[in-house]
Order: sequence, then C-alpha cells, then structure tokens
Amino acid sequence: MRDRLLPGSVGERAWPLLGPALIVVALALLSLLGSEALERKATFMLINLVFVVGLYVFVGNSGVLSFGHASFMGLGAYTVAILTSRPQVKRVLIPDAPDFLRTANLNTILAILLAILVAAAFAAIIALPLMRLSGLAAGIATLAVLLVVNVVLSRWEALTGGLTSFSSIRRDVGVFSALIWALIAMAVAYLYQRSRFGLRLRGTREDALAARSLGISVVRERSIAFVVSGGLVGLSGALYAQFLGTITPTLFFLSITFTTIAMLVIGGINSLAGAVVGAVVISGLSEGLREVEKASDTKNITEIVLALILLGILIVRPRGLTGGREFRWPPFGRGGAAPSGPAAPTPERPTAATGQPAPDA
Amino acid sequence: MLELANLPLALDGPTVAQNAIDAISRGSFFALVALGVALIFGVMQLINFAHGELIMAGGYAMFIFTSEFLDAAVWPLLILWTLFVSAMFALAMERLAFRPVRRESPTTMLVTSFAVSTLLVNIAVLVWDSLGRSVPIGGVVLENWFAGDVRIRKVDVITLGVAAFLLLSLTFFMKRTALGVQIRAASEDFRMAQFLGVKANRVIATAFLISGLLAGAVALIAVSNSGSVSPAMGLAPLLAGLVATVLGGMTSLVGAVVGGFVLGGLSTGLEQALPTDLREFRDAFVYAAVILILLVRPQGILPGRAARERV
Repeated sequence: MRDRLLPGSVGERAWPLLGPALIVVALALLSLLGSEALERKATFMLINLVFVVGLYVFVGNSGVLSFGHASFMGLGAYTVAILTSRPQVKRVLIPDAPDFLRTANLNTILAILLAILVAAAFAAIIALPLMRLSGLAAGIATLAVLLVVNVVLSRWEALTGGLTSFSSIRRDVGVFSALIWALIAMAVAYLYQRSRFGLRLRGTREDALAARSLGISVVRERSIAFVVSGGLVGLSGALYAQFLGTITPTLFFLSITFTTIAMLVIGGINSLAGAVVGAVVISGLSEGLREVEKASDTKNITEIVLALILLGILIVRPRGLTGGREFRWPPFGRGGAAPSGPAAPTPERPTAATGQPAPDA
Repeated sequence: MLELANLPLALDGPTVAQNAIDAISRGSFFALVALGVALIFGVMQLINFAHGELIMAGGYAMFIFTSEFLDAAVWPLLILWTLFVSAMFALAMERLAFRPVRRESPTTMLVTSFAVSTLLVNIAVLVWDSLGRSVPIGGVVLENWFAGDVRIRKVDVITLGVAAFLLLSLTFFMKRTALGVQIRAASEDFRMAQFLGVKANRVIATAFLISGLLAGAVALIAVSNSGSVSPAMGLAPLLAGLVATVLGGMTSLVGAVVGGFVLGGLSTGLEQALPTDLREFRDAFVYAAVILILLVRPQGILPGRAARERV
C-alpha cells in the first residue's frame, strides 16, 4: 500500500538514525556561521540532547519513567571535574580528598570514558533494588535516589567541595566535540533499540505478560537498559562540566530533571526521533525566549512562556511532536515522520522502530 | 540544603517523649501532603507535581491577607480564606490543564503537572520575587508548654489537631457520603465505576477540591512554623509527600497516612541515631531507608487495589 523503497532497504533501516543525525549535524554546522554565543548555545543544546537520548534509552524503551537520571549526570560531571582539574586547584578546593584523586590529571577522553563508567556502574547498583518495583513506583523510587545523590554531592565536602561551586574545571568541549559525542550517543541508542535486548524490552513495554510468557525477564531487560542509559547520561554530565568549567550540586537536581523529561515527552517518548526533536525544539525555544527576555528586560518571562507552550503542545499533541514514531524513509513521502493531526490512537508498533517492514494496518 | 520540612527540631531535652512528639507532628504534616497526592493519583493516575504549588498558593494567600487586608488575629477568616484560595487553584488546575489530557498516558499528565508547577512558581517569582516574604503570624502559635523537661510547642499540637480533624472528616466523607463512595470506587476501577453511573468530571473535580483544601491546611501549618512564604515553599513538602505516597502503596489513602508517619518517624529517629558528623546526611539516609523498605515491600506498605500491576 505504501510506495516505499524495497522493504528493509538500507535507507529504510538506517533512516531512524540518519534522519535525526542529519538534523543535529546541520544545526551544529549552522551555529558555526553565527557568533560565538550561538556556538555556545548549540553546544549546550547538544549536551541536553545527549542527556535526553540517554534518558530515552531507558524511559522510551521500557515505558517506566525515571526522575533519577540527573544523578547520573551529576556523577559524570563530578568525576570529570575531579579527574581533570589541575592538582593546584584541587589542593584548594578539595584538600581532604584521597591522594590519587588530588594528583590525578587525566586527559579529556580518558576522563570522559571513566565518567561514563562511574555513572553506568552506579546505575547497575541501584538497578538491583529499583527495577523490581512496578512501573510508577519505580519512577518515584528513582526520585528518592536523586534526593540521596543530591544530599551526598552537597555534603561530601572532601570529595565534591560541597555546596560551594567546583570551579576551574578544564574547559575542553566545543561544538565539534559535543557534536561527535551526541552522534555517538544517538548511535548507541539506535543500536540498542535494534538489538535483541532493545526488542525484548520494547516487548515488555507493550505487553508485560506476553513478554514474560515468552521467557523474557522484565527485571533483567530493564536493568540492562538502565545501565546503558545511565552511562549515556553520565556522558552528558562529563560534557556539561567541561563546557561550563564550574559546577554545583544544584545543577543536577530537579530543574534539569523536569526539563529533560519535558523534552522527551514533547518530542515523543517512544522514539529516538522524539528524543532528538524534543531536545532540539525545547532548547531552541528556551534560548530564543531568553534572548527576548534580555532584549525586553523582563525577568523569568522565559519560564512562564515556555510552560505555557508546553501546556499547549501537551493538550494539542499529547503523544509528542513525533507521535512517538521514528523518521520513515522516504522522508517526504507518505510514510513521512510526523503524521498530521492528532497522533494515531494505536501505540507505536515495535517493528516500525526496527526498520523492518511494518505490517500495514 | 533540602530540608524535609520547615519543622525545626527541639534543641533541648532529647528525651523519648520529646522525639515522639516531633515524630508525630512531622509525620502528620507529611501525611496531609501525601493524602492530597494519593487522592489525585487514585482517581486519575496523575502524580501531581503541582500539588506543592497549591501549598504555595495558600501561603501567598496568607501573605496577602496579613499584609493587605487584616491582621492574623482574625484567624478564623484567615483560615477560611487560605483554604478557599488553595481549593480554587486546585479546581482551576483541573479544569484548565488536567482535564484536556486526562485520557493520555500517566507520563503526559505528569509532564503537564511539571508545566503547571513551573508556571505558578514563576508567576509568583514575577509578582513577589524569589526571596521569601515574612508573614506575621505570631501570638499563640509560637508559644510552648512544658511538661517537666519536655517542651511541647503549641504549633505541634495544632498540627496534630488539624491533621486528626481532617483525617476523621475525610474518613467520614469517604465512607458515609455518596460522593466519597464514588471517589473510592473510581480509585479502585475507574472504568467500572463509570459503567455504574459515576460521573467522571464530578468525581475528579471533587478529588481536586479536597486535595486543594488539604494543601491549604498544609500551607497554614507550614507558614505558622516558618513565619514566611517563598515561591519554592511547596517543593520540600511535596517531595516528602510523594515519597510517603509510594511508601504507602500509591492509591491507598490509609497507606498514604501511614507512609507519612513512617517518613516522619524515620527522619526524626535518624536525626537522633546518627553520629554528629553524619547528621547532615540525614535526608540521604531517610530516602535510602525508603528504598530499602520498597525493596522488601515493592507494592508499598498498604497497597490499594489499583496499584497492583495489571497484567
């Protein structure tokens, strides 16, 4: 019925990754034409995108909400801050830290990889108790994790410097490196959702009972996604620390949690395309509004207008801008990404996300 | 930085009785917040993050009352006015934001409540700026009684009295009135209740009305304790209330109350039990304990029927 290319052709299979990737690359390159301020905005957008893509790997594929992912970001950020800052700086900021941390002065890539590892390891540990809970209870239990991590980051002064900001972090992230990491994150998310683990998890999301009757362990699949997701969000934290140069525990608390969840839901919670579109659109809107705010000299108009826009989008398109679908090949044909009008009432078919021919309804 | 609530602890006479009073007072405060959250979750599967802003609205209603209209000494009017404002905000929230997304996934509703929460907080910042404003309550609320070495703050007694009164009247409403029974039915199985003639709009609006009244009561207690209001004042009670709700089993109202008291007991108990150098990590231990409890009882202490995963 649909006039596409051959079912399962290379274009069709790769498009759910290539489509969003092209958007991101195009935006990053466009920002290079503008001012340095615009480049910084683009970098920040890419870092948000890494977070949202990471969040999507767990939330989108499992259907379980998490309020705890900002803690992975915080861990990633503080790992990089501690491992890359100059020993002279650390002697002042965290004089009581263990020697090997105080003298550590790793190169950027190694520190980022370690940050990913730390965040993923922490995710693996807390997945043990949390993933046994039912959907919504797990969501709020992750909130408890966020609260615990925030208290620890704020109070463990020997390691984090406490509530005073950790400053003079080596600033080593620009638009290019952020773009490369964002593409890597998207590729990981894409490969994960196409892998057998991703497919199994999506199965549990659609029908937990049916999935269990096929021998799929919901707990195990959710835990795997949680670890992958935690690692990616840890990456976003590592980039954020090196982008800002100064971090405090409050950066990794409720505000970023709400913003990133809103991005994912506005984009469309069940697809990689949704994660990317949501991050790009909301980052763009909020940066644009901030310019207006600066120009018109009114405080916190950004948050108010953004909240109203969010409410509007949620009421008109409750399933998000992409309706939770991937970009389809051909991009502008009848199988194009965003359907017009309200999203279809049926849940997204898992097959659509794998790039295999979806059985036409 | 994140205190569980604005309830300052007794500094003198750390006796068992003193701690029990603190724990009960704090627990009843959490229980009132948790009830408001659980009520809404029960009827529409919405985790209402904007519940904290209903508390904030009540707080600013008190601020306006004491600074613009009248003295806090006219306290019956102050109480009515605060409850009225919180309840009106709750009804408006339901009608304008939540009703249009009611049929959507819990996640969509949840993000809607984030947006409502952000909106209200920032409007408050716009109007009154982000710093706190003091609300002169004074008078009898700040006085203490002494029973031997045990100091009893009158505000704790009032908190407990208000909580007990609200719990009893809510129980009466839920068990003895048609609307209350309908709300309970809707929490167990919304669709079935609808088939049996329960009107969705009316039940949900009533639930919001009650949760608004509860938020107003929480505002009265919180402001009497701290003597000030700020745009972020709803956040800490809300977080504690949410956690208490999960502890209690999400939809069960009795469970929410129990969860509130467990949380109050945990936070007071840990404050005494922890060695001094770990005391600043108290909240971390409280929430870690919550995770441990959930590990043993994933369905919460008193799970309602709807909380069971439908397979």
